[in-house]
Amino acid sequence: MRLIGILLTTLLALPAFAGGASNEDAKSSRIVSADGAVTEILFALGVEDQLVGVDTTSKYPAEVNQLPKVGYLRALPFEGVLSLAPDQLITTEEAEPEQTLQRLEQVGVKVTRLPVAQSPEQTLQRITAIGELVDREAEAAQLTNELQAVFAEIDNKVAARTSAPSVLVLLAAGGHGVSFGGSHTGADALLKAIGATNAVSNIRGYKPASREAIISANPDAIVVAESSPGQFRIADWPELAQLPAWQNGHRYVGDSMLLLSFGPRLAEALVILDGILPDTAMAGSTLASSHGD
Amino acid sequence: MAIDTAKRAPASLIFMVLAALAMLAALFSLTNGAYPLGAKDVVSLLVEPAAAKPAAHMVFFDVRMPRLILGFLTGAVLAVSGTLLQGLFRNPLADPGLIGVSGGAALAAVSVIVLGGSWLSGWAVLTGRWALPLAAFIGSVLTTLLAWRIASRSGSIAVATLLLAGIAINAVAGALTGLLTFYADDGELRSLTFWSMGSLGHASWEDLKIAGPWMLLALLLAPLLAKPLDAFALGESVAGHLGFSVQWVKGATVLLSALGTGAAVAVTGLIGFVGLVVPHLLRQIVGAGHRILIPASALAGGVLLVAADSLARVVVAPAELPIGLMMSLLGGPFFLVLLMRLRIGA
Amino acid sequence: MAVLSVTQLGLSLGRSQILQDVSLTVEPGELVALLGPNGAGKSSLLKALAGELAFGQGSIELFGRDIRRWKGAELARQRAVMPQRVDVSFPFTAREIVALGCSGLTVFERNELIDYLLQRLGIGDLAERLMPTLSGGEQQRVQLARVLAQLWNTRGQRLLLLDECTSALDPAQQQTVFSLLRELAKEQGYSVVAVVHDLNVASCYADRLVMMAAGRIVEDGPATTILEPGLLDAVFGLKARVLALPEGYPVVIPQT
Repeated sequence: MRLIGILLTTLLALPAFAGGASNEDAKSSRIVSADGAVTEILFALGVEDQLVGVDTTSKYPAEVNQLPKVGYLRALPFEGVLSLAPDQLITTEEAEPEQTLQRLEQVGVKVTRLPVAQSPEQTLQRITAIGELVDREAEAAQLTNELQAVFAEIDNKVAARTSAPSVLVLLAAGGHGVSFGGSHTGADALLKAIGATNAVSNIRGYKPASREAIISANPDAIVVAESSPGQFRIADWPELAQLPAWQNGHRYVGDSMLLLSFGPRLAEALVILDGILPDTAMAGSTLASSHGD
Repeated sequence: MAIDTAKRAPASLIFMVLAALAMLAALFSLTNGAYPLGAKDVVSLLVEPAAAKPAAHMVFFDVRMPRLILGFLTGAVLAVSGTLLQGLFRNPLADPGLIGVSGGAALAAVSVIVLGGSWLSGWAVLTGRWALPLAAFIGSVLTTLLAWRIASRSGSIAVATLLLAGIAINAVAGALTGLLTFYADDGELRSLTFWSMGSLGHASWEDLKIAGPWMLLALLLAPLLAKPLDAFALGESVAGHLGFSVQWVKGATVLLSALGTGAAVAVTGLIGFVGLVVPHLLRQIVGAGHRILIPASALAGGVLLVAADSLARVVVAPAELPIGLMMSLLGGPFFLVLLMRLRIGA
Repeated sequence: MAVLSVTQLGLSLGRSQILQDVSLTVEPGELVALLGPNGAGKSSLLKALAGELAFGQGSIELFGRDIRRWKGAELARQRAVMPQRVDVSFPFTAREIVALGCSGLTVFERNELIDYLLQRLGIGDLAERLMPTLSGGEQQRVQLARVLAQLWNTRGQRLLLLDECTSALDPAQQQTVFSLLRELAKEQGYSVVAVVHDLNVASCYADRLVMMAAGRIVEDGPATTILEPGLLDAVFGLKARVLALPEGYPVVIPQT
């Protein structure tokens, strides 16, 4: 009986902090973004003050941490999203459940599900599309032009290359082990964009990496995408450290959202990765300096 | 009078308390959530439905209402199945998971999530939106039947073998689930992780329409097993001496549990602990007699799940915690405290 | 008509023959004690009679009908069984356990019957106690009350099959139980088949003693013919004197 009492008090006490939806004056349009790259684009287009909520994949820029989180984009809560009183929800085709999205539309929330972008081309299309959705066509055009210039330079270098270097992408997420970025992944798409081949293209999807497979992959360059900074420690992976590519500095360890989100920072990612490829190692600095003009 | 005399509240009082708790949980659940729709708004919504914002209307009638009913039915069916199976196996640690229900449902669900685009695309096309719940339901019932089949020898069922078969089938189903998990991509992985943590977040009237009848069937027929299960507490042979058809009781118990739990798991994902904790706790309060225990379990299970779901949707609003996670978070420590108190008492 | 009639019963588990060529008849109002050393097949015979063990040869007729043609619920009204051990898996009260034997009664009638039976067995004040808190002997009497309740309101022939139903009782309680059984047999016409270990209890209360060894019935008759030093030595390896009491039954005194 005492336990029931405790349960009751808890239940009755809850309304006090429940349902605390923000009631600030709605601006021209209230936006919920349910995708990390979409959120980045919204910030890049300067509409962050219209953003009233994001999903848990939105981690950049740091300001997003102050926004209410509506959970994971594959398990969007109807009431949760609705409680933020959004005018529109911008997300991708990965969003689920279907029913939540349909219901949001039924009560007048404009739901846009953008295609998943996995190439520079698609990234540009996505920026343009979002620009139209939030009435920032000009800003979107400027951003795409800047990105396009970088993409063109990268393309030139790819064309000039005689052979495609092979790159190994490792994903460090969670406390234990790392995964190979195999074919049919964002990592693979990223490598295509810099004209490299995947050192583990025989693996499909992200699969746990074995030490032996790391040695046998013997890539020309190594990319480690961390889901949080400092997660990957090379001391744990002597097999990787002894690879010629690692020894010779053809390596990059960095934020997985920067590398794999195909958002406004894609150009930055491509330049970084292009910079670690063996045959373009020297050209990297010129490209970085020419980026500005 | 001796100190060991069972101190029990009268059944009528217990049912009144449970009914009152059910009302409270229902009211709380209908008036709380991420969306600002409190008791006052609900009243005005009910008085004058036409004047309400469409969003509020939808939140109340199409989200919170079906969610409340589905939550209550699911909690009730899980608790009652736990009670039935604990009675059948004469073991307070039995729950629907033991006869392969959850293992089979999980394997089927993961199959649909991972293979829905390839090998099982025919199934996905055929069943559409119901691909996953239907598969989970069939999976849970099939694994239970398989366990039953393995345990039956010339028309009679060895209960201990049924238990072992369930455990073995769970292990195999778990391994196959793991294998599929290995081939899953990132998104699929997240989907199946969320499925295995259970959720009432997508509850809809359609869910209720397909799963509700099975759950109701199990709940309405379960009380018929009260007397035979009391007899089973003295062992299978004594139940037979008392005139109960032992095979029939075993079959009915397993079938009802599998149908009810299978239907619940199909639309909500895996929700643990209700089936284990509720009967165990209630036995301390209302005694072991199934005539009271079964309906009390139904009420208490429903209340527990509705309350936990209400918490799950407000503690991290506007996001939601998976209900299965919530149950284990609340139920695990609670159960431990209960066990420790029992030990000290003994 | 005989209440129980067993003809040339044979039963084997796996490769071992448990019962062989067992024939036995029990009339209404008869109290029959099954005797014999451990492993003689007494419990197996009782289980076969209770329908728990399928037998290979011979036949068992209960109340004139083949045991395999009885429906469980129907038979339960005329025949009750008390196994050697009953484990109660959940904390039921004594009253709830005895209530399992009561059917077709109002709540009032049922409670009256339960109280009466517990009273008769000397545990009238334990009705509301939880089974796990009772001693072995108390639990055994609760189970016996349940078994008796099952047939209490039946009209016509009734059969009790009891497997060592007083094994946990002290001599005085044993006396209480067997006096009651004898009363039921003589006054109500119950037929009782009881596995008994105590030869003198069997001698004192039973109408007939059935001596078993190695799966067969060795002797079947009144105490005066069964309790005989030669047979006791042959069957049990027991060295004993047997004295005829003026009450009309013999008493067995083991010798050093």
